[in-house]
Amino acid sequence: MANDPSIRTPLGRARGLGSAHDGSHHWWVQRMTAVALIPLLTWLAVSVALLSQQPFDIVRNWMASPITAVLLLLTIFNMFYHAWLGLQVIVEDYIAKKATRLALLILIQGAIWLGCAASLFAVIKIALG
Amino acid sequence: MSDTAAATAEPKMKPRPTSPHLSIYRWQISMSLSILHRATGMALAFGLLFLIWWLYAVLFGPAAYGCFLSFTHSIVGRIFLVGWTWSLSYHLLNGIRHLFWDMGRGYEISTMTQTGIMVVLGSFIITALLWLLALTTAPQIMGAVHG
Repeated sequence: MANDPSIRTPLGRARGLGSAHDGSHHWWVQRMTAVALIPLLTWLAVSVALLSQQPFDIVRNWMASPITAVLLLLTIFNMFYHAWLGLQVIVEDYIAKKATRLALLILIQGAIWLGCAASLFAVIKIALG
Repeated sequence: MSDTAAATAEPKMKPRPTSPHLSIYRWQISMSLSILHRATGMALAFGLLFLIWWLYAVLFGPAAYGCFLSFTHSIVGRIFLVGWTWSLSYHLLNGIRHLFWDMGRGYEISTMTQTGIMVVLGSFIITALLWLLALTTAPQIMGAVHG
């Protein structure tokens, strides 16, 4: 492509991954988790509001029911994933110092995985009794 | 020698124009809403700790759940929860606004201002509705539904 003013190689253009070596995957997953969270969080917010005055047994039975458990697992996974990507972008935007940035990114990733695993485990344990 | 010195001397350059920074920008609603989107997003991310507490309170049984409720019924807990509800409402509504931008819609300045105002009003309305629902739902109603 002699007329192409871009300095990118044909191979680089075909791969389409850009400088982050990750392409638009991050961007796309952030949107997909956002779309999933619209119905999931609407459901969760209304459910929690309705349950807020209920005694323990009703809350526990609700959480242990198959539909609730599956929807909760989906909500938790999407929330943590979406939060991870969001926090990552904020760090990448505002933390210029490489060492601090890397340390924060690793810290965020660890905290997200830990929190996500702990939450999923709690729901599964409640659902399976 | 004097010729060489003159040739290697730093050329005098006029100071280059710098891009406009936040401090000299006139305030507009879009910038506040954009910052708020990030702020509420961060708040919600930290709020996930609260979600974990809720799940484990239910897992560990009535005593742990009672401890959790004593926090949510306290003044500090109430303020925290109202803030959390509003952050969630705002971030969700403004997120929908973002998704429309991603599809290339709603970029006219007048539209952006209108949708921005709608999002702010909507976030307060949703927060109020959720709390109304929470505070007016009597235990028996849900008991009947689940029983």
